[in-house]
Amino acid sequence: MESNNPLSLYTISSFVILNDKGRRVFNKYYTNPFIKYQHYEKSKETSNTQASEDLSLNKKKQVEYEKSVFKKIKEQHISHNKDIELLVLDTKTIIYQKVNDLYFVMQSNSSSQNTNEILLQAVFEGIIKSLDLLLDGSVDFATIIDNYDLLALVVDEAIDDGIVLQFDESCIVNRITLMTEDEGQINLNNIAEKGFKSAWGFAKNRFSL
Amino acid sequence: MSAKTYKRFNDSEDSMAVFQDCLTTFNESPVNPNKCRKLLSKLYRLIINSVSYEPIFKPQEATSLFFSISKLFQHQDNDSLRQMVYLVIKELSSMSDDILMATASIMKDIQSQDSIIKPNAIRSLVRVLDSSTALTAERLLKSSIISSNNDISSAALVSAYHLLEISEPTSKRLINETVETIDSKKSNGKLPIKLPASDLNSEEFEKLQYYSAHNTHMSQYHSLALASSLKKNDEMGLLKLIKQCDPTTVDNPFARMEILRLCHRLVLKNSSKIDIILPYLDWSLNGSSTNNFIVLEGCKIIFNLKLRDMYPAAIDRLSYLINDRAISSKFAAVRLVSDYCHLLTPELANSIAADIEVLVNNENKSVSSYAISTLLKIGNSDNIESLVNGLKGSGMSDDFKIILIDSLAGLINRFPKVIVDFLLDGLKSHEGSNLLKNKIVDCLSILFENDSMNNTLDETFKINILESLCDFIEDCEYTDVLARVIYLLGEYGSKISIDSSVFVRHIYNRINLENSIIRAAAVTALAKFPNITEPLLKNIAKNDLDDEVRDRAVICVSTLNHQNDNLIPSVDPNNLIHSDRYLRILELRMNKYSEKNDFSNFDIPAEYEIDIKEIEADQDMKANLESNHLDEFTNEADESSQSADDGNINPSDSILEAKIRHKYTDLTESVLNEVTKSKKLTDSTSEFLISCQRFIFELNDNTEEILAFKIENTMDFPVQNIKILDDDNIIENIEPQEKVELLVKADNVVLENDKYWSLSFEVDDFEEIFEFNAL
Repeated sequence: MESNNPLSLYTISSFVILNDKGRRVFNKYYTNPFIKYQHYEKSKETSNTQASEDLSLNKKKQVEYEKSVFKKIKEQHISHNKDIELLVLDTKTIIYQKVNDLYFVMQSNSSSQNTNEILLQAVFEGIIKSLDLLLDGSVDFATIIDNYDLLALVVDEAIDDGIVLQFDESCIVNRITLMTEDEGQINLNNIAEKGFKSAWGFAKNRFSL
Repeated sequence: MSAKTYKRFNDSEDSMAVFQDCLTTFNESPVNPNKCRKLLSKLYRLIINSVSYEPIFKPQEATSLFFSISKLFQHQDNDSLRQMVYLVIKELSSMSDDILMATASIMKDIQSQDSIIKPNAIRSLVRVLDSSTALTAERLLKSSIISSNNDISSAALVSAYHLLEISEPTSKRLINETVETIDSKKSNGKLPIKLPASDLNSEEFEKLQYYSAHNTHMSQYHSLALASSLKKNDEMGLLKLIKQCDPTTVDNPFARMEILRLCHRLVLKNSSKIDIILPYLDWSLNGSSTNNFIVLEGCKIIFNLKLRDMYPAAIDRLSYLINDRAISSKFAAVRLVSDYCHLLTPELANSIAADIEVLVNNENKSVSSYAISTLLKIGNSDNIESLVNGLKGSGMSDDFKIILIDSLAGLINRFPKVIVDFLLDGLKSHEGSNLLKNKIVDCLSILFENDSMNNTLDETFKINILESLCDFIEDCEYTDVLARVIYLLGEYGSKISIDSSVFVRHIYNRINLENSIIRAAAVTALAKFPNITEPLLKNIAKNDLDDEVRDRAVICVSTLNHQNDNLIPSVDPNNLIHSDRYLRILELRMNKYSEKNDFSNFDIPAEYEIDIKEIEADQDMKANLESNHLDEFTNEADESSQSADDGNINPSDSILEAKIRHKYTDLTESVLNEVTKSKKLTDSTSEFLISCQRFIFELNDNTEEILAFKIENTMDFPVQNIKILDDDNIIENIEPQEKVELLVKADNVVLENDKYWSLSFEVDDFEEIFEFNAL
């Protein structure tokens, strides 16, 4: 990807959630979707494809990255710190936050000289706040696993293969549909599954009704 | 699924069970959407979290999985299920071919009226396309871009941006719609259900209205970025684009940042355009509702373009960012100051220093390290001592220390005592990476080098440092660091006026204890103390186990016998270009010499003697070598040759010079006066990549200028009869991706004020002209 072009829309190279042992809970490594597909095409022809240097295409490197980032966080993190923190690893800016028993980690795409860290933080905050709203404040391992669909949708609505799609939590939440509450037939008038309930829940939260 | 894969996933999620569940549940009738969505999210988690290289599902399994999922498309009017289906489809799209078959269903969804899943459908669509089918999406993308819904428009714009990678023409057809969208304000997705008014009291309803009116206009950002990358070669178009972006209409902060970056790029290309950026910088710094990341971007550009008048305003805003609560603001601001503090006047530097001092004790190591390093850079003598002393024993990480040492390197000649103390502590400590120790040795070398020129340090201080280094080599685990320290001891220890036997003893100890690399370094160092070490060296020359060590010892001893110090010249770093060339010639002659099997006389080439034939032969040899390597290696070689192009030192200059002399024999007598750096004259996307270097020769006040063009054909067909301007030098054929050199006498072709030069070429006997920027 054109990571050295400051005008490029590709801003984020990965979003990962690790548990408190450093194991992955969620991970998305971004590159242009066609590059991913071409890589897949190639992998069908030749059996040995792991030569790719690109983090998004090389699972071994991804695991290595997660390990090194977790080690680095452990080194510098002060256990009570609940704020968003920042570090630089291999010239890339990484923003992370410990939320209960999870570590949310986002990595910039461009080298850190071209990165606008404040923008990164805005996107990062957007994702975390959206989850906080949708999960009613309990962002932790057990809840995330139970509501994996919401997590996946939030990240998908915020970042589209490295491009920032939306950073404002209310707009993100507004796009997320919830599951129908009754197990049977779908009710056309059920506003819950149309994303409205989430909107309403957000409004309630924001104005602390 | 094999038993092996089954087992691997057993600990987290049973993939076999999920697979079976998916097949049965998705094929049920009627479908239970809730259960399906749960299963889909399980499947999604399984796919993204797998760490195995083999695909999780075998091809047949993936196919049957895909067909069950596509059954869910028949299930209309359930957005919450459909949204999840799209998520999984996007994930599968990079691991299965079947996914192409979902195209029709996806397109149907895009044409529907549903504003919730429409963006999801659009974003999934580009993932099932390839370069041959991309055009089919054009109409759908077009109508989606102009949609009044922000999310739909954004989804289409982002998808078009992805398409640039495989099908630029498709995206280019969307340019008009994209440009239209830049300054339009789109509504957010409307709440999909008409509210029964009776359910809400008026107060609640108002708040809901406020909420749905909340809008970030992100589509402005996406359309601006897409438009600017479609027009990236069209300067006028970009200027027009910027003019269109009135700060009052474009209010998305991301879009505003993109405008700043776009202006910045235009100014970098053409500094006379500086006026376009000034108003935007002004509103980035002073705008009332301006966002922090725009402020940061504005400050970056001000420093990057060195707009001195705006420094005070920028520093003022940076000090505000430093005091911001968000870590990223602090970090970005302090790093920016650290990068550019050499540009600041002392008053400005001191005014920001007060803010930065607070950050020294920040809990975040990256922030505090930049803070200290900035203070060191702008500091005056009072606080440097206290800063450095405060650093000792503060348990810093290596990266932090490395940043610090980089800024200390600039100060070491001014404050040697306090800094050397700090460095030696770091060197002797048992912790610390190889890189860190190397940096410390770099720093000490700077000190000694400076001293050997200016003689500013007093003798006892130097002896103290060298003695500490002696202690250090007693237990150092890094071979390369050790070798460098031994070099320092030899080079500078021998210049100390007191008895230097103490250094010899320490170095000689290494001969007995260490590996061959260190022993070799030690031999060279010992040779600097000829009076004491000659017998030692003779001994080493006879008894050492390693060839290199013995060879060095032999050379050293024979040098001493000849009383000729110049046989082992110290390498002058300024002469590296020549030595590189010299070494290549030497290597070449040695190869020939050993091939001949006649070991009588070997004539060592004189220092600057170049023979064109030899260099060409040398290049051929290299080319042969390269072609034998695997693809990756050639790629690497390409990259390295590219980086050599960008750098200052370019050994290929001399090769080109030799070629020019070979071609234009009338220049034989002239002296090469100047070589310019290679300059790119085309964009990286054009049909030909052309770069050019000027070679200026001089003879008896006559100058002759030769232009050396490098031309690469980036098209996928060969072109014939290429010539530049009206020159008579013609290249008969350039294959795709082939690079050729063309040497042209500047007088023959160049008119003073041309803005563009042209290159003519033939394709299938049709002559065509390609214009590119003049040098």
